[in-house]
Amino acid sequence: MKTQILVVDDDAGSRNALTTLLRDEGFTVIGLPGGREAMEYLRESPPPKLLVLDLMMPDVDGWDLRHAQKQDPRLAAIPVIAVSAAGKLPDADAQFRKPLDYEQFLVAVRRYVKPA
Amino acid sequence: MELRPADSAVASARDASSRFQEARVVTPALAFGFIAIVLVLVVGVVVALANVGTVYRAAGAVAHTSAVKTQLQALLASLIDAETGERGYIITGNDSYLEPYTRGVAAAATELGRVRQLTADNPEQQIDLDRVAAETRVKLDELAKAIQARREKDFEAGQAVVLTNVGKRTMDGIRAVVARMEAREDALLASRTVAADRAYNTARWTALTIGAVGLVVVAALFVVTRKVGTERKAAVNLAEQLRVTLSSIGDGVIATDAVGRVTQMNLVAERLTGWTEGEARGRRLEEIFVIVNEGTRQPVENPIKRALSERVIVGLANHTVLIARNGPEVPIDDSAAPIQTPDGSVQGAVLVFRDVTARRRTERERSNLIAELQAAVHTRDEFLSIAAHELRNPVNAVQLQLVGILRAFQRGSGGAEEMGSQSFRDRVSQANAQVGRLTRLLDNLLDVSRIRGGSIALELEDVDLKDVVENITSQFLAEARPGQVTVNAPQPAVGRWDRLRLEQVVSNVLSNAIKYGEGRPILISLDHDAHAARLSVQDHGIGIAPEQQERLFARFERGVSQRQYGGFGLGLWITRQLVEAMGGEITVASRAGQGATFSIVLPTSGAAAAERGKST
Repeated sequence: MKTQILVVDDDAGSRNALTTLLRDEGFTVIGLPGGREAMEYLRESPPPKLLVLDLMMPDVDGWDLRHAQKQDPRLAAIPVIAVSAAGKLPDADAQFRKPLDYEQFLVAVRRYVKPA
Repeated sequence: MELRPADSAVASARDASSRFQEARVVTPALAFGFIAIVLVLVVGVVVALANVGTVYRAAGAVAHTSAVKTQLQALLASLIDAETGERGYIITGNDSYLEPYTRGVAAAATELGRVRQLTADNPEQQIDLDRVAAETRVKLDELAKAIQARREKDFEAGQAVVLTNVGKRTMDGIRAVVARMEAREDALLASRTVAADRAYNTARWTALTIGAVGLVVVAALFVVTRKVGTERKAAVNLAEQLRVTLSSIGDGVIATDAVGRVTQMNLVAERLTGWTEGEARGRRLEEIFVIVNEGTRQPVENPIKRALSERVIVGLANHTVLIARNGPEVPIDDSAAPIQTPDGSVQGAVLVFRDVTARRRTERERSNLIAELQAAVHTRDEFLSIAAHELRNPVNAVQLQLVGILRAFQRGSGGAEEMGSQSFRDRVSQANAQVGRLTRLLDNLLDVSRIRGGSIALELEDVDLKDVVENITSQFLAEARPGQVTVNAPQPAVGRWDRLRLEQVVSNVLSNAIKYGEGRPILISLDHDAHAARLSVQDHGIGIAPEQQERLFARFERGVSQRQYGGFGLGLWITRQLVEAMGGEITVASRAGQGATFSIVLPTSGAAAAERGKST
């Protein structure tokens, strides 16, 4: 099944909980622990419909990933929702602060993706 | 404005100068006094001479009058003698009776000549004297005629001449004129006596007056001289007092003349400049007092210059350094002021300066302290911000797990069957794990204050480090990649340690290795001997640059940016404190990009060793 949402977060607890919840809503979700892994995934797989990005991550962080995405015409149009404990991604389509207000987050997700 | 020592020194110098000025004002009074005495003496002598002349002339006049009168009486006497001789001859016809006649005739001529001389300056007497002379000639002719008649004829012929009464009339005439002349001389004598009296009185009063004036002037002079003496003594005392005061001032003081050449300097100034007063006197101040800016080393304008030219009190710019003659440099603070007399003329300038080394040091210490405090406050603020962010991840995870559980209930499938399902159990256990993580974070925070307060309470027991390592490693399996962590612990390593603290140490070092290990293999090795156990944790991750390694164990520090790697920056600091509390040591060997190896050596005697270490 084609992946709809890519969740990138180095915090395993947050990442696992969020991917499980989104799957429960009927979305196809993949969770990855860092920017480098996400870049590899995006390069090799069909583009998802939505990126959910943590910002503060080791190595390639959320800002780096967003920058790389916008450089790639194939990926540039994918909407991005930033979810972070601190910091802001100025050109994100939506911003959320941890701990996440899940109901609001779901409204934002549904704006870009319909459950499979 | 607060009166600084420099200003008060200037004020007292000014006061002294005005007192010297007063002393100088008295001196003309003294000169005036001497001039007055000389004048009084000169006037006295001149007046006295004049008076003596007047008295002398008056006395001369009295004597002159007496002489005139005596001569007049002598004239009369000589005429009487001549007449007596004539009468004797007429009566006797004897020539021997003519002797008084002959003498009287000769004397009369002489006396007339004398009177004429004596009264030569008096025309009235001269006129009367002419009459007396004429009458004398008539009288002497009559006497000669009578004598001739007796000689040539007889007694009766001589008597007849006498009886003509010409002789008597003439004699009466002479007597009357002589009486008038005498009266005139008497009148002259009277007036001359009055003049002499007046001259005497004048002389007496003048003498008294001049004497009195002289006494007053001398008295005034005495008073003035005394005053001058007192003032001069006071001025000398003041000068001495000023000199002592100057040398006792705790600041350096240098006085210059109006063109900026040194006139005086005190002991402190000598010490700070390296010049003695004797060497410095007469030299230009710039030579003695060499100042530069502390930072730029550029010469600083000498404040005396402006004080002299603009007549204002000049303070020195900050951060001025005085370079002494023999080289040493002293940071100083100073001010210069013109020395002005009350009439406003500038006699010189006074420079006051002090060694501010101690103050500079205090300022530096204070600014360092402030910087440290600011850094501490900044660190605390940053830490609070980091702590708030750090707590967000586990709270976020717990919240999302709870949302999942709640939604399961909302879907109506929260029954016993659902609760028994694997996914439900996973959610609860993951939420629980996150709560455990939160607890560890909070424990770390608590440990910071405990360790800072010096109250790590160790519960020592026999602990096998091999057990602890294996136990903690198994807890981290979920966070690490499968097969990422290898443990090489062939034998048990037992020591007197605190089990929970030991778990905290291993857990911190291992979580660090996983966090920064970039997923590459991690090797945990354990070995021991009779005295100590050695644990090393080696990763192949990002590594730590040498310059970062010491900071690594400091509080709130990490080897990488907070943006990329979260965490309080407390783990290694706490680990080090705990290891040291148990008498051990933790070190790191690493290079940037080439992984890191943390080595921990723990004495098997644990805290006892630590105690021993402290007591030595």
